[in-house]
Formats: sequence, C-alpha cells, structure tokens
Amino acid sequence: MLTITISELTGRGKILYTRFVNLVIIYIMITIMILVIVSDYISFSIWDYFTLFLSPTPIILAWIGLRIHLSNSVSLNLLSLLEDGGKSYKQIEKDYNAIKRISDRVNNLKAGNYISSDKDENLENNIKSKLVLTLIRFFRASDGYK
Amino acid sequence: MVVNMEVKLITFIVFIFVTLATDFLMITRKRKIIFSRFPVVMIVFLILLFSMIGDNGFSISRIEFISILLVISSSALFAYYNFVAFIKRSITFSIIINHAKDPIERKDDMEFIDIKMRLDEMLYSGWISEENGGFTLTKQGRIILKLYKFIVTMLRIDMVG
Repeated sequence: MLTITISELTGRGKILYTRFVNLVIIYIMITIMILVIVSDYISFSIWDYFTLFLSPTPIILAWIGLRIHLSNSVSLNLLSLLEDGGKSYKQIEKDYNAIKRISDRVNNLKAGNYISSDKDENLENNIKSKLVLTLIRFFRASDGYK
Repeated sequence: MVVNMEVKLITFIVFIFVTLATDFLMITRKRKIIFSRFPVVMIVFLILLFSMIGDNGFSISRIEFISILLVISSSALFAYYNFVAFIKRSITFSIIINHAKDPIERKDDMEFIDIKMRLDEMLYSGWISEENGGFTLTKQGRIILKLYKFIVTMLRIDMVG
C-alpha cells in the first residue's frame, strides 16, 4: 500500500506505462527500508526476505490492472457521455468521436515506430514491431493464430 | 508437522502464478472468453490445502493465515482477469494486427471500437436502458459512473479509452 501511495503521489497523474520503472524502484526501496528497520528487532531468514518481496506483488499487479483498465475503458467513457441525458446511437457515436480516438492511437503507434507514416500505414519491419506482433498473436490464439 | 509460514506463503504464491499461467496458456488464450472458472476452482483448492498443511510454526492463527491467503488470491485473480481482458479487448493490439495485413485485406480500424457491442453489454448489465430509440443511464449506471468519476478524479487518471 505504501508503494502504491507513494507512486501515485509522485507520479503526478502520468500514465502508468511511463512510470512503471519508478513504481518498481519505489517498491524495492520501501522493501529494503522495512527490512533495515525491522531487522533491529527480529532476525530474518532467507525465506523472510523472499516473503517480503514476493507477497505484495499480487496486490501491486492488481493495482496496475485496475489503473490501466480505468484509463483505457471505452465502455466507461461511453457511459459518461450519457450523464447529461438520453442520447441516440448516432449522437453517442458523434460525441465519442471514434474517428479521432482511432486516429490518436494510430498516430501514437507511428510515433513509436510500430506503424509506418506513409499512405499504406503498414506495420514497420523492425525487431520491436515483429516482437510485439508475435506476442499479440500468441496471446490471442483464439483469434485463429497458433 | 511444522511448516514455516514463510515457506508456505511463498509456495502458495508460486502455485498461484503457475495456476494462472497454466490457465492462460492452455485454456484462456485459445478461447474467446475472458473469465474462466478453472483458476478460481484451483485457487480455492489451494487455499484449503495450504490452510490445512501442518502447523504454521509462527505466532499466527489459522484464520489470520487464511485471511492472508484470501487477500493474495483475490488480488492475483483480479490482476489476472484484468490482464486477460486487456489482451483480448485491446483496440491498439487489434490495430497492430490489422496493419500487419496488406492494405487490401485490412478492416477499417473503426470496427475495433464497436460501440454497438459495448452498448449491448451495458444494456445486458443493467447500466443503461433503451427507450424511444435513445439510451439513458439507469440508477445502477449512475452509481457506477459516480464511482468511476470519483476514482478517476482522486487518482488524476486521464481517460484515454
């Protein structure tokens, strides 16, 4: 909880991906600090060290998952469009501005050298893109990939 | 038999990761579903097993130990299902796969947002209702939205979805 709190306070609202290393560093520093403080009163075995490092990881991973989900959720964004009253499907489409959102995503991928900037907008032929594509196809075997 | 609590805890965490990895690699990644029961069933079994193995060898009651296991398990499951949902529904991932194809074979990237599917899901969940050709928030939907906006404001999260 201390790791999460400090990461949120120091992160200044930045996207989690850009401060992931920061989160890991804070986690390691806090764990070491706790070990140093508590070791004055309790003698630690190697298992204690492993327990201290390993046991909070599910909670931290759950936190990361929650944060990414909240920021990227299209459905929750659509829900917020209905706050001021009922809307037709066409109005929701217009207000959500899907064209701009898709365009932003494609532009981010171009900026990251995943997609080329020419008119074909093909996936770039570099190691990074190929690796990401392989991973996605592996993870999404249900989409017909092996 | 006395089994050190730390050893039990680390072994339990390792078993959880192995269970979730097995579920993802063998089952979930090959199916369209996000939620599968296998990890939940396995983790319940592991909690029962680990809470019964030996004495804890430490000044902690069995109930306290089970509570720790429950916190760890529920966090791990939450993180796992978020991960699976992200992998399967990520629009950016769909765009990447789409742009790996020849331009002639590609779909329109707009299809991946699929507003209609999401509205149908929210209708099914009871967050919105459809009347006279329009969609409105239900009472449940308003509560969800309030909670969402509160959390997003508190954490200064940018909504990019």
